[in-house]
Amino acid sequence: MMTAVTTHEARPGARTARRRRAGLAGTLRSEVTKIISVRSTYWALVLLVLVSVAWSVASSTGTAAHWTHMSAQDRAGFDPTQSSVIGLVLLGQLVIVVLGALTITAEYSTQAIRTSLTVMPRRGLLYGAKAAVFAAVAVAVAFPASFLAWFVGQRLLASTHADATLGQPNVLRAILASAISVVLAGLFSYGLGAVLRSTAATITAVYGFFFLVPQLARALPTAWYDDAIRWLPGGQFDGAISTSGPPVSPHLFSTWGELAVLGGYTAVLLICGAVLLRRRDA
Amino acid sequence: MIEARSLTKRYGSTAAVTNLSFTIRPGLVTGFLGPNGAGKTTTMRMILGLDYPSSGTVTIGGVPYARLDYPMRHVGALLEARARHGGRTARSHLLTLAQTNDIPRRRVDEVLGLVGLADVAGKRTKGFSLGMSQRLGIAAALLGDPQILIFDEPVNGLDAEGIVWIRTFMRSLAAEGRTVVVSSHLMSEMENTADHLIVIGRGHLIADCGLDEFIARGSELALANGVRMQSPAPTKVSLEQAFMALTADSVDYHAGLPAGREAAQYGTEAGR
Repeated sequence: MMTAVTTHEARPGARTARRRRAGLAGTLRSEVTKIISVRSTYWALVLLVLVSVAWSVASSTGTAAHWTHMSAQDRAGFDPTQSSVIGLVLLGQLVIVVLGALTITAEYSTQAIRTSLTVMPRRGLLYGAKAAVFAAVAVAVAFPASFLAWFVGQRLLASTHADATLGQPNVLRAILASAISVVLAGLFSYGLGAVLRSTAATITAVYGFFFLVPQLARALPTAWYDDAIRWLPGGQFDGAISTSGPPVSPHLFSTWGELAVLGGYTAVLLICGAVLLRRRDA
Repeated sequence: MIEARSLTKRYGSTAAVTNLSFTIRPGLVTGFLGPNGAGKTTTMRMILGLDYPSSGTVTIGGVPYARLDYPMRHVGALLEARARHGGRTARSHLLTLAQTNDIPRRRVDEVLGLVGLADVAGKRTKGFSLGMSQRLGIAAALLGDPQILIFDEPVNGLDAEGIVWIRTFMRSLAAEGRTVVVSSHLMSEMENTADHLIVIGRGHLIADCGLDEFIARGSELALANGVRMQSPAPTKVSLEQAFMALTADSVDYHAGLPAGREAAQYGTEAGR
């Protein structure tokens, strides 16, 4: 059973001749291996694409079937792009925040974080590499998913002649905004996961922020609600992916303004997560 | 070489480790010994840069752990055998670690062979027994072919075969000139494995000396306290008895026995 272990002449703490050190490239490779070597990643990503497209199919098929019975006013108010990609925004977000949280909290629930930090004690670098790899995966899935959901939706709306084309005003903006909001929501969850270090707590809190708080805000008087809702991270996703021009209400931000609000919260959480990871005992 | 200078760790008002200074030298198996809750794990975590000392320093060859160029090539550590994502295969798990330190992929299969896990390299680690987990943890520690190896309670929960395997492995690593640090609360295990002992109790250093010297010191105290000797050599007690005598004031829970005299006697009976 025993085999001799080969010994290098390296001495503890001695600097290697070229003064190289374990750094970003290796850590990025390691994080890629981590994310692609567990099944939950694939489950989550397949689910994300499925629910987004399924929503688009259901919504477009339903609209196409009822089109002849719809009033002129309803037809004019129908936004074929928004109705195709809102599934990605609402349901896709439910999925991506789980994956974003797990990327960091699974390390805590298994205590693997201690091994990770022992092999890569530069904590900020580990945290950044993890976030970058997760973001890359989220981008690689969310953008194709948004275009796929949109194309499928427009195909199924063809009989109504109300289907949108990419060249129409704000259509591309809405498709991109839906994907961006998914990526940001995932990073939001990752940052909060680093702060809370618990899968259940993180997912509960993110669902609360995104879905519950905007509902509770409806209890506010209307004037306050409009002012409050635009500052909430999950407040105006449907507005952000609308193809109509500037927001109807002066109380609401534009598409990019809405994404900037979510991006701002995300940035703050990512920074809090980094600071706490560096400061706290692992 | 691992050097701790006045290492102190406080959690709120409780001190886990107080003013600990020691030097761990290469070529020996150093036993890190203490009752449960003595601060062994805390100290090891501070050596590895996982926990920050409240005061004092600990260095690896003169450098704080976090500043090592390639940590895995200097220090290999096994803290918690099961601390890993069970959904990954043994090979993927080791690969995620190796990649951070630019260790070539082939080394992963090398260490899997070394610890006897080559046959299950492609299996997800969720179903691994504790013994297999310990082997996988040791494989991870060996990835960077480090000069220093740190094992926290490596024989905990292992069957007899696993214990012998780990003991033999640790001895051979030290024989190759490596620094091996192994913590345990099992005296009988240390007696068979360690050359040198660092003993702590309630976070304080109790002894930092050779195994023989420790037993000699403990023997004096134990015999002075009236331990009934039933072994053929009445001037020397077992490590367990020596340990009980020297740490009698430092254990947290006595199972109803008062400290000192009785604790030392209890050692004789428990040592049967």
